[in-house]
This record gives sequence, C-alpha cells and structure tokens, in this order.
Amino acid sequence: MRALIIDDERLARTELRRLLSQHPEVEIVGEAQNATEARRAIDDVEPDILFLDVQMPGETGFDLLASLESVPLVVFTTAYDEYALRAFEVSALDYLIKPIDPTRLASTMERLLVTWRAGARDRLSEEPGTDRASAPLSPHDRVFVTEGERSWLVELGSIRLFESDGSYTRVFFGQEKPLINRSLNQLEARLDERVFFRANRSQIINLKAVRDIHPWFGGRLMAELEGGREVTLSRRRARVFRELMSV
Amino acid sequence: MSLYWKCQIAGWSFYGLLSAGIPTLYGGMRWTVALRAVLGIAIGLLLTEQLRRFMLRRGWPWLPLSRLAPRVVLAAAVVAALMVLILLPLLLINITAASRAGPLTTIFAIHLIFVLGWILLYLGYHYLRRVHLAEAETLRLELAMRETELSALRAQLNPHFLFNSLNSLRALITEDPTRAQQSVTGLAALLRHTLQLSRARSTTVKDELEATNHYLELESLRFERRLHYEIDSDPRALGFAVPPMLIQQLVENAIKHGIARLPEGGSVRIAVWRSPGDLHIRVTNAGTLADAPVRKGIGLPNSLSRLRLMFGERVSFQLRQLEPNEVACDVVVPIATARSEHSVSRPSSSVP
Repeated sequence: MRALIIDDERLARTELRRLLSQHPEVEIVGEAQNATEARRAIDDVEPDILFLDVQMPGETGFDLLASLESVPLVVFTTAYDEYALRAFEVSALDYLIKPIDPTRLASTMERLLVTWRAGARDRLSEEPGTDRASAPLSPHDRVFVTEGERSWLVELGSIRLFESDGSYTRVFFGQEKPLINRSLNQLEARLDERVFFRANRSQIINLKAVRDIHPWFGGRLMAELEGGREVTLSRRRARVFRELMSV
Repeated sequence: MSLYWKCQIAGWSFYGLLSAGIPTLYGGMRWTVALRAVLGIAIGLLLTEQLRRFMLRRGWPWLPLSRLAPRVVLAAAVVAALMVLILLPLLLINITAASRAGPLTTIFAIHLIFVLGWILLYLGYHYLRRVHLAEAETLRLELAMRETELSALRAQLNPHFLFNSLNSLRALITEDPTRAQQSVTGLAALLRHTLQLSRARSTTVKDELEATNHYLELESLRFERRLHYEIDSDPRALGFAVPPMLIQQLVENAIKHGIARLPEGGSVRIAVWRSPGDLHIRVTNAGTLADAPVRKGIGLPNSLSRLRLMFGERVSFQLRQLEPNEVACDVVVPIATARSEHSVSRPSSSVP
C-alpha cells in the first residue's frame, strides 16, 4: 500500500513516518506540506492512501480532496478538530488524533488493508497497462463532495444522476443532491461510458440505477431511475442507447 | 393604554367624585357642582400632564432629595393655586359671600394635598423603577464578568496548540532530545502561567512576555522556518499589571490569522513600551486583515473584555492594516489606571 503524508508541520510528518515504519505493508512514497504540493505528488506517485492533515495554510485538507478527480483512501490526522470531521456524512471516515496512539494506528491500518485489498481486486480486473490518470473513472472511484458545512465521500457507482447546473454539476445519491465544482462535460470525459450514459445535453445517468426504460414520443426514450426520478433521452442519444443495447 | 394614563384617569375620577360628592352631601346636587367636578377633572389632567413634561425636561426624577423637596412643594402649590383660580367662578356660586375665606382655604388645601400626592406617586414610581433597573444592570454586569472569567479559563490555552505541541514534542524526542527537554520545560512554564488565570487576575508585563516567549518557542517547533519573531520591551514597562495571557492571546491571534495562513510564513513582532501617559502593547504580523475573520477567534474579544474589566472603558484597542502586508494590533492603557489597578475593578454602573 503506497502512502502519501500531507502535513504542513515537518515534525508531524517525521513522527507519522516513524510510526508507520512499524507497518511494513505501508510504503511511504512521498510527503507534501500543502495542498498544491500534495496534488502534484498525487499525480506523480498515485498513492493508494493519503494521511491528510485537516488544517493547512492556504487550502485545507477538505479543499484538497474536493479538487481531486478521484479520491484514494484517506486517513485524516488532526490535533483537535474532530468537530470538523463530525460534519461528515460518511461515518466510515478514518481519522487519527495527534499525538497518534500506535495501537489506534494499528487498528486503523488493519481496517484500511481490508478495504484496500477489496479495491485492489477490482483494479486487477482492469485492462493491464492502462495509465490510471487517463483511464476512465470506475464506479468504485470516490469523489469528495462538500456543500456548506456538510461533506461526503461518494463512490461514483452510488450516484444515480449527474445534472448540469451552470458550470457546476449536481450529483444525486441517497437522499442528497449537492453540487460539485466540475462541469458536466468535464465529468463525462472522465466517466466510464459503459456505466454513465449521457442522456441529453444536461444529464448523465447511471445505467445501473435505471429501473425502467420505455419509448417516448418523437423517437426519444424515457428512463425511470431508482428513487423515482425520470430522465428523457434525447432523440440522438436514444439512438446511441439502442445501438449500445443491441450489441 | 400606559400605566401612567390608567393612573391619571383613575386618580382624577376619584378627584371628580370627591369634588362633586362633598357639596352634594351638604347642599344637594346642583348642575354647577357637576360642572365643577367635570371641569376640575379636565384641568387636573391638563395641568399635571404639563407638570410631568416640565419635571422630566428639568430632570427632577434624577435630583437629590434635598434639591427636589422644595421644588415639589412649590410645584404642588402653583398647580393647586391654578386649579382653584380657574374653578373660582364656579366655586363662588356655591359659597355664601359672608364666609368665603374659610372654605376657599380648605378647598386650596385639599387641592394642594391632591397635587402633592400626585407628584409623590409619580416620582416614587420613577424612583422604584430606577432602583429596579439599576439592580438588573448590576446583575447583568456581574453575569457578564463571570462569563468572561469562565470563557477566559476555557480559552486560556488553545487545545489545538497544546496537542500539536505535544505531537511535535513526540517527534523531537528521537530527533533532538536536548531541544525536546527544553521544550518540555517551556511548555511547563507556559502551562503554569496559564493556570494563574484562575487564581490571579493580573500579572506583570515581564511575566506575560516570558510566557509569550515560551509560547512562541513552542509554535516555532511547529512552524519552523515559517515563523520569525522578535520581542522588544521597554524596561520601564515591565512592572505594569496586565490580565494574564493578554499578550499571549494577541500573539496567538497574529499567528492563527496571519502566519498560519501564509504558506511561506512571516514574522511576528511584539513591542511593549511606555509613553509619558500610557502603556503601549503592539503586536504586528505578516498578513492582511481581509482574511482574518475576527469573530471566529474567541481569543481577541476575550482579551478585550478582560482588559475592559480591569481598566475600564479608557483602554483603547485597535486592529488595523499597518502596511499592505502587515497587520498591527494596538492596545493602549492609560498609566494612571494601569498603575493603581492591580485587581479587577467593576466599571461603575450609571443609569441614564
């Protein structure tokens, strides 16, 4: 498991590195002291896991995650702001309180290894030799979404619908529909088209979330999504959809 | 309807009842008697309303008793005399010409007592209300002070800072044991100084600067090259009393809203000096005010209210952009107050 340590404090990075040296399953592939450095390092070394300090000068750890196309496993490290983490809707989020207790670190690592191994199997099924950075995002990739005080770490596969909203995109999952800071076109370019289908100019649907689909007037199609939402496939897209399905 | 008008109507109705009732008992009901009563009520209402405005304009409710008493008697006499004079034509009809002087004196006396009673009731009500408000004000101030003390206790050392320091120390133990030892001593001294806040309400500039220095040394573990600092103190300023953790909190704010937001860091300068009349504390830091939301930090308003509690309203406190990339926080305490006050004094409450 390849890890990147992100913390503005050198001593904190040193301490975490020392603690992680007890865990041979983790290989530290880099360090970063702010969000900008971290982004560069993530592109370069493609870590499986981030150890991320919440409070950093300039962009916070949350800002960093929100700017990533796909979020690897994340363990937040924090001195005293569990309150910031409580805003999370994802209860499974891991965090370590500084100074870090080695026992607590060990149990966190154990849990993470299980998650990571499950993810690794999926990655093995991908075509070999593909560059992760340009390969389409799989339904298992996660995006970090914040709206107001709330944040979510969402698996793409659990998103039913992407809807264009100006230069932003509204994503629908569970009972939520927050905005993410990317245009629908940007997203479409990175999404796996076998799962995420452009229905019309302003919507992308998750084909796995389609409950029913039936012909609509003018050669269009009407898809009914889980949760009851109905989306019209434009005439042009309906044709593509039919071709796709007839294969 | 206000309480004042309710009392006015009740009181003057009582007056009307008396002035119609008594002559009726003696000489039977006559239209002049009824007219006199109604007219009396109207004049009474009108005159006392004017009197009320006059008293309020002249600030009678706030006069000391010695100056108030003669004014009240005179005012009552004037109002009573006016009433009797206006009612005179009607009164004369009912009084036989032979014995005019006697009954007229009695009627004036009755009016005098009535008006005097009116004034006393009015001023008495004012007085009681004022006492009540002053009590509430005192309670409110006491509460505010206690709350400030409590939040001061809570906010004395930012837990975020404390745990980050401990984390840095943990790393330092293997990396630089000597420095780790020094840092533990520094942290201990800072904690000890902090605990003073619960016992002493003031400390000296000298002790406070020492604690601030320990604080900055510990923050340097965290910020390393990103934090530069210098402390510049006037030996003549060192003996003055200040609230514990005042300078430390100013510096903490300078770091939190200034240095911590700058990826490349910057410097914090602390200067304490005295001018002929004042004690000056200035903390400058790199950064801009625009990205320093003051409301977020509890430290700043906390220090300010403790300063106010200690030195009264004459303390000046200013946060401003000194240079395009430098923020200054200035605290000026008049030396007269700084010297004499060694414990918290409550600002005197004044009721308008």
